[in-house]
Amino acid sequence: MISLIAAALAVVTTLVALEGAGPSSLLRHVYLLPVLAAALRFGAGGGALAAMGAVLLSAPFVLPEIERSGLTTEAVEGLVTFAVLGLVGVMSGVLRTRAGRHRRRYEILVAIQRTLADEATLDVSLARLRAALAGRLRVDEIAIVGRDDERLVIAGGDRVAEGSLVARVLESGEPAFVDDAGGSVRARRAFATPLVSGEQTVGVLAVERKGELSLAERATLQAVGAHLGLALENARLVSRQRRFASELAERVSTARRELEELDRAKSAFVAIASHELRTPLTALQGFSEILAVRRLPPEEVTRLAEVMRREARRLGRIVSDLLDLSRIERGLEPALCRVPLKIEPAIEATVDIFRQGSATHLVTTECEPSLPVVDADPDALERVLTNLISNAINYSPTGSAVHVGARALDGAVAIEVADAGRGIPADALGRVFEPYYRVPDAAGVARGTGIGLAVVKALVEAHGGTVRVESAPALGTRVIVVLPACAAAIHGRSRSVP
Amino acid sequence: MLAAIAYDLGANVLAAECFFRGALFNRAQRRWSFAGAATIATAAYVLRYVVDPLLPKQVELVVGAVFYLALLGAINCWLLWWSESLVPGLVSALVFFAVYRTLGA
Repeated sequence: MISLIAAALAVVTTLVALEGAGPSSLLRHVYLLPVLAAALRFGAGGGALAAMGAVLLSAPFVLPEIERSGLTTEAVEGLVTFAVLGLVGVMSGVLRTRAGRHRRRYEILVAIQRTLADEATLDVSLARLRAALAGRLRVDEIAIVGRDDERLVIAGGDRVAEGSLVARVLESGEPAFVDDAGGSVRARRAFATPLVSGEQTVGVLAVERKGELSLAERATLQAVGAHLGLALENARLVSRQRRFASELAERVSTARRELEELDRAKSAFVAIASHELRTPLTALQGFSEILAVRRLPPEEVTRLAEVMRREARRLGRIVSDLLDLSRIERGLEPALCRVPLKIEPAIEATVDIFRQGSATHLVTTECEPSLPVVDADPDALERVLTNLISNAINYSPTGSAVHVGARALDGAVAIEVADAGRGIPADALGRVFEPYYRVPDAAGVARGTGIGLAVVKALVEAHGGTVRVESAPALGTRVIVVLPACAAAIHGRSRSVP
Repeated sequence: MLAAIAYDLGANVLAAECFFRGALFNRAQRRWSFAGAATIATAAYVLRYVVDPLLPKQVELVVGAVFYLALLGAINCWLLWWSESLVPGLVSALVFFAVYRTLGA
């Protein structure tokens, strides 16, 4: 292209010389063509150089005229041509440079949009942006720093040094320029501009180049920084929205699964509860009919009455559990009538019932002496113990021992019910206190409604206590209930400590 | 003429390039843009020769000197900036003055 322009200038000069018309030759206007071509191809510098070349080549036609005849009309025309060539070369070049700069800026913006179109993490996005911008900005070094909450993500570096250009821009939110960042003859220029989103500085775009980094280029970089900040923020918001939508869908799916499971559990519960209610009712109905229509010996009457009493108690317990569950599901605590209560007699009384009713398991008790008194509802405590002991008996093999114990803790009493049964799988341990939940393979082992432990938990927590389960498959299960001691009992005990 | 060329080689060109490009332009371009630094260095360079008592004070000679020296100064600034060395500028100035001396003779 350069040689073409030079050749064009030479051809025009030759034609002007051959024409012999001097400085007023009409062919001098043809100089505009190579000058314009140089300006459009190489910008302001190229236009100026081409204009200068044209002026130098046409000077031999103009200057001798001035020397010979002074500033004649023809000479003035020649001088005006010089000025026009210079103006056209420089102005066209400047306009071309500006147009090129605008085009490059739009290309950069498009590149940013394309780069951030894919959903990616901030680290990946910044690395891609850096790769996309490095060539387009025509700089030697480029680094992009983005804030990710408290973390700084850096593309093109390891860390942001304290007091560095990037650190200053991050802190102040204002662009900064270093006109001499080292280098031998051509100084290295460094420029950093904030990536802005609203009023916030969300990162920094920093570039370094050996040589010029003009004011116009810095303005372009600032515009790119502002756009980059918005684009990054938009990408972050879109990513967050997608993540949120995905989480929401997951939660809805989980909730639906849980509802379906609950629905199934409730259906199963209705069937089991009906069966559980029907069994004692059938016994009561059958034995009461026998008592009504037959004359039986007194010992037999006593035996049947004892069976009926036991079944009536079982029926009452199921109904109480159902009522408590109903209150729990309505967000209410079970109704309690709390009194100062000694634990040891309560345990012994409940265990006695099981000893009389079941000869299949050995139920042992071990309570520390002088246990503190607890502030508890006797009926609720009995139901807690009954639920736990009956579970221990139901889910442990015949002939095994069930151990019930109590010991004093600091300001509380811990009651333990332990069995040597099949244990509970680890993945089911966290759910055993959920209403209607039954360990998947428990249904085949023992009858149950799946509400016993839920009621136990609600009753214990209504007392201000805690309950937890420790279990090892095939080794057994231990349920520990901790009930707070009466305030008076605590003070009494603490006073006795030397 | 040989004496003049020797003077240009040993003192004139060497001193001018070292001062106007090596010191002034180099210093200025670290603070300002290339165009600004080249303008300052070239203006000073042209001024040094315009006020030189050896330059004939005819208008056309002064104008010609200003034009060509400005061109030389700007080109030498660019050469230094581009090559990061004073040698191309020294050569260019030496060629310029050699041609000038030859034409003058």
